[in-house]
Amino acid sequence: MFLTIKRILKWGFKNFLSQKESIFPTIFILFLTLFGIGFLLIFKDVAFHIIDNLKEKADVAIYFKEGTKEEEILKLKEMLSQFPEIQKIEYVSKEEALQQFLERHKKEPIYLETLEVLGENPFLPSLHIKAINPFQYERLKEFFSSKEWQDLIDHQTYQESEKIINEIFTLIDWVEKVGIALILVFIFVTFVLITNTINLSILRSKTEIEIQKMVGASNFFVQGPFLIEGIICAILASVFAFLSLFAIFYYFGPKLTYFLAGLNVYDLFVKNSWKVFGLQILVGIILTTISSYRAVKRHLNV
Amino acid sequence: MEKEVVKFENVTKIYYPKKKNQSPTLALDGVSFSVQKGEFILLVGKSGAGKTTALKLILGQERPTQGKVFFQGIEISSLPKSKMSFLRRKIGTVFQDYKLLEQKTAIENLIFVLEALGWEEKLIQRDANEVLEIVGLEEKSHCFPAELSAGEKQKLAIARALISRPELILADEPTGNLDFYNTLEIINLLKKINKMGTTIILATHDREIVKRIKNRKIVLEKGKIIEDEKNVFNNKENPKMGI
Repeated sequence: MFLTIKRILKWGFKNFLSQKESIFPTIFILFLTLFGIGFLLIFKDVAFHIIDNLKEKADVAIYFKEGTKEEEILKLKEMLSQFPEIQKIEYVSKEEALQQFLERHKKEPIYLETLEVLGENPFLPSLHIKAINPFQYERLKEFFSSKEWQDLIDHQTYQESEKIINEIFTLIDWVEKVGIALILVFIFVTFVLITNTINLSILRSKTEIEIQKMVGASNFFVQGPFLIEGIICAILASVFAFLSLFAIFYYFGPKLTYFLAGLNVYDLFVKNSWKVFGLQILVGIILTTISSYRAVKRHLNV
Repeated sequence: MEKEVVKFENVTKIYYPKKKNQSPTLALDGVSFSVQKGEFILLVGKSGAGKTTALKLILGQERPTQGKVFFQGIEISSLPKSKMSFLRRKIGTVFQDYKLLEQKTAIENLIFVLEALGWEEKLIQRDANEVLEIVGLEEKSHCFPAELSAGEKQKLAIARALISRPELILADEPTGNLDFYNTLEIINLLKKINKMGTTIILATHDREIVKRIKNRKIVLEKGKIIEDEKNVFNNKENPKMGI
């Protein structure tokens, strides 16, 4: 058995090398497919990291009108703390807001000068509410829309986080759909090209196959080299796809950290490298094996 | 005691065309015969008489429309396709057009077969050289088929059929492309192999061969056996042979 496998491998490599030029388009399309799969995998992780980050940061800020009494705000805080969807609620007084601003911008004199020009504390007292889930702000929205509170509230900022998160989810959905559609097209083209490549290889080896069948070589032995030829394409395409992703993330990863909520995609890629490469090689081998097997089966039916 | 190698039992083979407007072809019509171990038989008949179909049925490349074909007592048509390779390992085949691998040397053509059959390297080298010696091509072992004469090519094809030590050799018009001198050489070689114990079925329409081989001849015409006698021809031409 070992001898048979050794010879199947040897003949598979010979088949591959004998048509290395015509096999290039096949490897290229397979490379695009596997590159797309690897990219989507990492993209999804990046998107979810950003969403988690936004979820963490997402909160509702209720700013109260000038002159609203602190007791009224604290009474409201007390009421809100009974809501099950609220994780944390914090009161920031007018003075605390000013202090926080001064602390945040102590190295930026222009802000301090502006405050001096104003001559008064322009900040409003506020409540900062953090929900367990960013999509649970609907109830709060309804709560604050009642007349009773509208008279006290100057403005609210809760809609922005929700909007961004929704936009990211829409983006993920869109990229996934487009990515999967493209990958499906590539898979189809890969099937056609691999079948074509193996067909050419079979035609080139017509006499060899005829002799092998005539002398009683097993189907496994006759078909094996063509399957190996497909598998070599899969391995090469997977390696190229993996190395391309590696190079792209290595170069762009640190540059994109600021835009990706502090995430270095290169680190994420390295952390998931086995998962990515494993999936690429698995998909590559499955694709080439199925298409090679179909071609081989049709031509070599003994 | 003689042992049956091949047996045809009332075999009919009809080729049905793929297109509806063509009529079916009757290749064999109720053919029955048997071949004993060690026999050298000639399957004689014009083109289209059914000789090649009979050989294809023995090889399991075709299945009979009716009747049964046996090889060493096993009904070939009952074998699943996956088991057909085991049957073929016991049968060597020689073709008119040699079917040699042009990019391989004489010895590599033989090695190719043994590698495909899973033989070990040291046995492959030993047997390949031995068989080349039997067919008289030991001096040409490193020549490519293009460097060999027609007769030598056919000798190499016979060596390839012989190398897996088959029980039976099927030769389909092996002298069709050869001149008189080479034809004699090939016939003598096949006789030599037969004397070593291998059963041989030789399909031919060549009068010279029919005249020179004084063995059993099965004469086919339009898919039917019209003559099957042992050692009756001697050197006389038989008018029934239709060739």
